[in-house]
Amino acid sequence: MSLTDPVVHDIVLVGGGGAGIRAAIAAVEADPKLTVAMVSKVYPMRSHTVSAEGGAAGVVKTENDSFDLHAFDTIKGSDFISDQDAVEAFVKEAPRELLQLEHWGCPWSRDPDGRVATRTFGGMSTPRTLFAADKTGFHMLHALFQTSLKYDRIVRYDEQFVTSLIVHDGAVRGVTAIDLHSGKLLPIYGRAVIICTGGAGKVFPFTTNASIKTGDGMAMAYRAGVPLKDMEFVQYHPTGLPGTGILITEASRAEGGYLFNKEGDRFLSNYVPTKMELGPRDLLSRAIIEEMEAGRAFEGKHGQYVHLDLTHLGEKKINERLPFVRELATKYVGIDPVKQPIPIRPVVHYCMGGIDTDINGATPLRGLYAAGEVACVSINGANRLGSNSLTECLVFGAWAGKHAAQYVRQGGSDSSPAPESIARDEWARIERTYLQDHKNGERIATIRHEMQDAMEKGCGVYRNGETIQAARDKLLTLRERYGRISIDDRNRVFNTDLTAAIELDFMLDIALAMAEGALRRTESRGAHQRRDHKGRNDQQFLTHTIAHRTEDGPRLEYRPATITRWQPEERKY
Amino acid sequence: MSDKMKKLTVTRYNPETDSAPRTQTYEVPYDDDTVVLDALNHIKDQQDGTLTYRWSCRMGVCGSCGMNVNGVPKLTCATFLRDFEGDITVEPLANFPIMRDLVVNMSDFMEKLKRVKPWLIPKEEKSIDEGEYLQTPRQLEAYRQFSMCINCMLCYAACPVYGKHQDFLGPAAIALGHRYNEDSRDGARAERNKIIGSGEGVWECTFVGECSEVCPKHVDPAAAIQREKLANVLDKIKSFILPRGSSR
Amino acid sequence: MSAKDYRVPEPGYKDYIKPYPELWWTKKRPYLLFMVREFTALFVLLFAMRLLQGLIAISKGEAAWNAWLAGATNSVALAIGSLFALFFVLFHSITWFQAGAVVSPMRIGKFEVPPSMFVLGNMGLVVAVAAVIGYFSLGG
Ligand SMILES: Cc1cc2nc3c(=O)[nH]c(=O)nc-3n(C[C@H](O)[C@H](O)[C@H](O)COP(=O)(O)OP(=O)(O)OC[C@H]3O[C@@H](n4cnc5c(N)ncnc54)[C@H](O)[C@@H]3O)c2cc1C
Ligand code: SF4
Ligand code: FES
Repeated sequence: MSLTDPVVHDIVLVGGGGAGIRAAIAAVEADPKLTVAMVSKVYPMRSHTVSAEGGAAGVVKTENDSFDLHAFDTIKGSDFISDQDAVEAFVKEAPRELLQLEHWGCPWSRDPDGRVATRTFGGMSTPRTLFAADKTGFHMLHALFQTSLKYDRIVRYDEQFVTSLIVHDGAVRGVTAIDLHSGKLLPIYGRAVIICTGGAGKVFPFTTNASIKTGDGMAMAYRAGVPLKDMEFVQYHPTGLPGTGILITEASRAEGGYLFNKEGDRFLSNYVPTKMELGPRDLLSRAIIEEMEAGRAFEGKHGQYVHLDLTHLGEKKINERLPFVRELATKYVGIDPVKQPIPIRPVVHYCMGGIDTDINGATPLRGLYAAGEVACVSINGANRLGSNSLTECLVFGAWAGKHAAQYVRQGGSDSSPAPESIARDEWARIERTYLQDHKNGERIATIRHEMQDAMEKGCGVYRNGETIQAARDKLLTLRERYGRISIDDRNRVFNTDLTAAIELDFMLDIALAMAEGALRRTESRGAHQRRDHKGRNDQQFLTHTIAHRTEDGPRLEYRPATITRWQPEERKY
Repeated sequence: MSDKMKKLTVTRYNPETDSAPRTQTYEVPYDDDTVVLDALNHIKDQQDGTLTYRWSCRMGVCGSCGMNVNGVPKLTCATFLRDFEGDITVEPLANFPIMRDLVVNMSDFMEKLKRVKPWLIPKEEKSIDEGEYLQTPRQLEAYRQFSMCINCMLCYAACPVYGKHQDFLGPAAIALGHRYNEDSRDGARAERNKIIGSGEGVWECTFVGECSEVCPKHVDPAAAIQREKLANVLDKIKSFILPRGSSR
Repeated sequence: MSAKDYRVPEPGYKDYIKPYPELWWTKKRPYLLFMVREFTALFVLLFAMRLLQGLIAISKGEAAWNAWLAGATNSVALAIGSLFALFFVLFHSITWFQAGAVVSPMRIGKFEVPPSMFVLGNMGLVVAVAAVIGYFSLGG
């Protein structure tokens, strides 16, 4: 017997990161009777929101700022394919959410007068990013998690790995989850499901993302017939540590850091002269790659890099504002930023794309909601501005929670239970695919490495038709080879070999959607830059890519981006 | 990676087949950048997929990867092989039940954490429309250090009192309670101290001080505990002298 | 706690609970010091009670005080015991000052006094006070 007795809640929430916890609190506050199952494959405070460093944006201080300005910065940053109605709604709600977090104890850094402090982030035209030194995500996540402990109606299912959505009669009814502690499959039923499982950076080899960021939620929704949106847009952060990909936050540039090439030039003057180090990430990452190709970068044991210089900021400021940067650089590359410049190179960081949702977080599948990095509303378009994402988790997490609660109150997905056979079949599939003896199958690590390698070559900072095509073909053969894997671990308790195999299965779907989207978008926009199709093509591509899963790979359609008040213009900084 | 090799002796325990833990030795290539966690990942990917441990961020902030390395509780993603002379032993964090291999059961902490009410209970309620609670950088500094805890459990693994008496709230839970007690916005010290000041709370602590030694984030939980002891005594004295006065 | 707020794993497989080693306190120096403190606390208590007795004796008048004094100085065992106890008290006072240092970190202007200096300073103070008292009670 490898199924456990099902449990039933009003809302099933997958994910305990920033977006997930915010959604859970919003849901239980919206309705005093409802219970939320918060299901997470790691303890919530381990979620990758914890690693966010720089800050969260919102017009909390109105002195030199306005909603319109924040909206415009975001839209311009997105290279004009964010949905402008969504962006406007987002910027208006942002300050409330950031203050809410303050009321929940988040230790935001302060000005001498006791108000919350702000800093300027890349692509933002004024200081509007709140921060907690350079551990913003850590403090936000722990404040959220600790606050969530006071709600008895948020019932946690920690270390439960969700494998699929239970869909019946055209509506979602719950999820199936492997309880890592017992190794059994647990069906969790609910009248609405919210997915907040974060991004998918791990389809690439060199990333700031944690090992858990494998796009599970995206893939599960995709398999349940929900389209993925704008998957080709993958953000490279300009400043990661070579070798490990550990992030050196944009805040280090917000606080005044400079980028230098081998020749000692602040080379950004040739690329983003008005913004320099505070230009948007896509442009900065490209500038660094150009410098590397022109032979103006340093050579090191982990390949080429340029310098991020903080030495002129002085020890006091670094300790006060960037202590974590100092800790990370000292520990992982043996360089104290107070004394020496930090070696950095662009690194895969964030998925602009995700599950297709509307402003309320609702997806096309009845009863299914999504929020956070896993979702694509879209406010980020072709390039997210730094510090919009944490705020996005709060704003859209709260809305998804509230609307799911409303949906449940109005009856939710029909309460006639889904047939038990769905969960049974899921267990049978898992057992057949992974836990039976497949002699001499391939190791999952091999396939994972080849997938990551293909994605780096095909879907890097610069792309072109041939390389994307090659990556796509490679992914198709990897998909086929995946059918012949065998895992070492056939035990039940805490089988991480099994979960890693399932994650790889998810990632192969996501990678293919990314490659397909990249191949078909024959223009350059934001984070998607094609050497064979330079420049934006607004005639054809002021659109979202909508990918549907089929047996023969993704089927793409295009949907116009919503443009209200801001007409596309040339994107210069 | 270079061709330097290192031997790792790792605790193995499979509850489905073993009655007690055993050890297994692996050999891994390493260079100056290799951390213990990389070595474990190398084993899992290339040699033995059944080796089981937790990890996530690989940048010392998620708190997943704590293990006893040569007997000392460490974050394995921030512990470099180059810093060890001979072979290395990797064991699950001491003082916790072992679930499998290097994975320990930390449910106990999750429950304790909740008991110290680690959330802001404001002195005066304020609506969001009225803006933020003001807090000067100095007031922030008063509790900042104690808000840095990543719940990695190294301090529990180092604490002999917790090893002997599992009912002890323990360093991290008390430090987090203290974090809210010291927050200028908060007004619920009396409530929290019902548990922090109880027999399972600070008074179990005999000031061994090892928790602060091993803490990777310099939270200094030992200091938090001693300060709570003092605060509790003062509160008691105050309530003795002024029975009606509030405790803060 | 009544209702658990998270799901407890199904029973069936057992976590392994390692017995706590009997000689755990020999494994690390701080553990050993800790045990020594635990063990010697009894002496400190006895010492304190002896002193208290003395104080009570004083309050009862000269005769009682002399009797107490005679008891304290005539018994060799008691004298040795007291010496030991004094030593342990000094040892404990280090711990106390260590705790003091973390409880209320001391600042002089912008300078934060490191705990080691705090402890040394306090011990110095103790010795000085003892010397002054000693001078007056013996010489005076
Ligand atoms: C290094 C780094 C720094 C960053 N800095 C900033 C910044 O300064 N400002 C900013 O705005 N943004 C920043 N970002 C981006 C931002 O942090 C993320 O986009 C955001 O935190 C994502 O939050 P989330 O809640 O969507 O997902 P996550 O925090 O990733 O949480 C995902 C949750 O889903 C759960 N989950 C996933 N799959 C499953 C499954 N199969 N079963 C069960 N549970 C599952 C996980 O356990 C986890 O709880 C940064 C990102 C990185 C990587
Ligand atoms: S106090 Fe330190 S050692 Fe203990 S859990 Fe927190 S971070 Fe880890
Ligand atoms: S893996 Fe996150 S702290 Fe080590």
